[in-house]
Amino acid sequence: MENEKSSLVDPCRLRIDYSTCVSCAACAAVCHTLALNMDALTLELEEQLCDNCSLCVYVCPTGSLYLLDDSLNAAS
Amino acid sequence: MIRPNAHSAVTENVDVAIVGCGIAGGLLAGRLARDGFRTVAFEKRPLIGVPVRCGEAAGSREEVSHFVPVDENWVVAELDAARMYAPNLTYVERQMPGFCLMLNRDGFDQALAAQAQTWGAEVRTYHEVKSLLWDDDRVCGVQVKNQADGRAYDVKARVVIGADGVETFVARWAKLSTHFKPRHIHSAVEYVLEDVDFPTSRLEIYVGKEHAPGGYAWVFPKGVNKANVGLGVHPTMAKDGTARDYLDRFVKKFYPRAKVGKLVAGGVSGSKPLKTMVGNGVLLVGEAGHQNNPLSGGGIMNALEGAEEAHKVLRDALEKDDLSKGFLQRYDKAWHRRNGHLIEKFAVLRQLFFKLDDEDINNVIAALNTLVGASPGRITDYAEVFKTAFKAVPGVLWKTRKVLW
Ligand SMILES: Cc1cc2nc3c(=O)[nH]c(=O)nc-3n(C[C@H](O)[C@H](O)[C@H](O)COP(=O)(O)OP(=O)(O)OC[C@H]3O[C@@H](n4cnc5c(N)ncnc54)[C@H](O)[C@@H]3O)c2cc1C
Ligand code: SF4
Ligand code: SF4
Repeated sequence: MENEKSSLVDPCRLRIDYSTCVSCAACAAVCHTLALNMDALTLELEEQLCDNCSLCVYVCPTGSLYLLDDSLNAAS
Repeated sequence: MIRPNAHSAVTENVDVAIVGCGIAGGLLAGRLARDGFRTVAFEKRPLIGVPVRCGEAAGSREEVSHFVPVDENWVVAELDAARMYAPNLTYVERQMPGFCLMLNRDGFDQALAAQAQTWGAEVRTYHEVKSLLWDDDRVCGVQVKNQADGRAYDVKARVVIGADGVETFVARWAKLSTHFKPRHIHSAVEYVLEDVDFPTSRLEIYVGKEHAPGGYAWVFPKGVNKANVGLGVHPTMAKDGTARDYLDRFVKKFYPRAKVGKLVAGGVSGSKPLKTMVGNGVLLVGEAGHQNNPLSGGGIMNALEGAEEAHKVLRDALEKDDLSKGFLQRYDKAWHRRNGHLIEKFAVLRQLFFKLDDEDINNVIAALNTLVGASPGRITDYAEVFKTAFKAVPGVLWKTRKVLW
């Protein structure tokens, strides 16, 4: 039961690589849940709003966003 | 009378609250303040226009100076020609004396903000709008966070302007649009390249799947030996990496010896016009209102023109004290007449463009070359250009049938 419940929640798997992010806000423009916000000059992620749809990952011009599982898949 | 302090608990009252002091917000703030309306523009970045998110190619000197006196401090070049390269690197070129000013966008945005202040607008940098205030179904102000001290405060306004660019939250809070779908946005990136012999008065465009699938690469000169070199791709058509990966390959191929300077990036609207840019007590302008040219992504002149149209309608609306959606819809109509009808066409052309393969584009550019050779002077007859392009690609109607019908 415990497992079933947590699998419904699907916690946010999006990660931001701040070493390459240039604060351009392209990702915020396509995020359909308003989970991403450019707070002055720093990209903020409100994890509880994110549904892991990956739209932002596609759009980021610098490849600074990735979904955790994708990177695990890519590695394996 | 002592005005309530922005940082006190007392709610401030203004005529116009503008969210975002970029191009559209800066121009509109000035024009409304000049009319005597109490106008405040909120800009979340600490310094107007910084960092730059733009290729910086604007209209002609005459076109730009209609909105703000041209200052050589932010003009870096004046271009006379444009060249477009096909995937096979044949090209078509047009001479168009003075057709484009290359700007320093930070200086340009700051000049618009300074003009607004001169005309009486208040510009609050490092103040981010966090939400809209509502009175029933009407927007009646904004909630603001002062980023310097972290404090939040409310500002009541007769009308709120969403001039908050491509990332617009105002459009979404007001339910005038949703997020940009990936197919309606260019994923764009640019380097400032130096120490290479660029043409100083000609811009260059490269099309084709190798360089920029679903978009194009640009070389915009910025004076001697310096240029903005960038590209925009369709995010889901770019199979070989991110926009930056494409740009790195482009630079390696064409400018391997250049010194690579600042990196600029962003999303650029490739969308058709919104159904409406207004609601009760709220109006969108510039990229927040999807006013860019969807094919080129160009948004500088469009944001200025959008602000000019918005200004005329807002002035009347504020004077008549009617900020209802019904009244503000005059702006939707005015924009459609001025630019919206063209943007609709460019949005269809963008969809057509996606369907062309490199061979088709080679054929189109060869045909355009014939047309250019035959008609000296600036090409203004777009119908002729597109007729020529269509004829050049056998079966193009069949390929693009899903877009047209
Ligand atoms: C890489 C790239 C290259 C481009 N090249 C060109 C080009 O060569 N020529 C051209 O014509 N166009 C170009 N464009 C497009 C052009 O830059 C934009 O369309 C134009 O800047 C839009 O102007 P605007 O006033 O609507 O919005 P912006 O200039 O984006 O201004 C919006 C402002 O609102 C602020 N803001 C956002 N949210 C809030 C908030 N909640 N509170 C307070 N402030 C907020 C932002 O910080 C920003 O300063 C390019 C874009 C990119 C990304
Ligand atoms: S994965 Fe989807 S929901 Fe999550 S931040 Fe990105 S665009 Fe938003
Ligand atoms: S799109 Fe990429 S580079 Fe731009 S703000 Fe988002 S994560 Fe950073």
